[in-house]
Amino acid sequence: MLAQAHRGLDSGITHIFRVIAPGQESATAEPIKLLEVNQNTTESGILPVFFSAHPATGLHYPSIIVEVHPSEWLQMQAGQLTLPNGWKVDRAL
Amino acid sequence: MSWTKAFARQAQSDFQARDYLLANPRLPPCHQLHALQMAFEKLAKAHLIDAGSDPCDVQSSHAYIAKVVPLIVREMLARTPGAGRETWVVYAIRDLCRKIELLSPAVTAGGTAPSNVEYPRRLPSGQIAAPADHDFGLDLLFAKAGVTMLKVARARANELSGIQ
Repeated sequence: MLAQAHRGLDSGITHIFRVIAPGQESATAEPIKLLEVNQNTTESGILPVFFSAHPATGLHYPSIIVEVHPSEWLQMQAGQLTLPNGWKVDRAL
Repeated sequence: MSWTKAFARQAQSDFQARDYLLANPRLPPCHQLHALQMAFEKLAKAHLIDAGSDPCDVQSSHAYIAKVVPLIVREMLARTPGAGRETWVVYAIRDLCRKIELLSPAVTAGGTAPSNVEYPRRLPSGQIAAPADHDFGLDLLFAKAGVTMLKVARARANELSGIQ
């Protein structure tokens, strides 16, 4: 739902992936984490941005968005750029 | 008060300071733009700290507006029933945020930043110019999506600070 909302507003998004924190995803307070590859963003490195839950619009969990430029996504795939806190890129959404 | 709230509170105050600066048409635009750049920077940092960034680390850098503020505005638009769903809005906001980020003297973009709002600089012609005499060409009232961006950013600063 979150990924869909972002795609609907941001035409620069090319890929969205779920990001997981191994061993912590079952915790109720753990935010939903998304990695968004966006051709219109700047190349500024890995900068996780936090958003609180918003039940009024169906967002019952907080979220963290990590937005990267396609060139940075390539660096991540090559192991040259990594997510913090041991987070791992999971499935594509 | 948490670091997140404190940064949001200061962003809110920077926006208010900008209001006072805008009310005096005799003041050069560099002053209200400086307040705007500071407000956006602090709002961005509040969200980074909330995601786990060290408050001391984020204080030392000034290149967060272009990356973070569009995400904030986009998220707030997604949460607002009836808000526009046109993708050009976020695209335009990204461009505006990049221009605002370049207003900081600490962001030089490899030497291509046209000017900053705080310190005099040497122009390509060799002359030295003050920001007070520079036309930044950045009027948010008339910029595409500028009003939306400002409205949403201020609302977010108010919300995050807990002070309306």
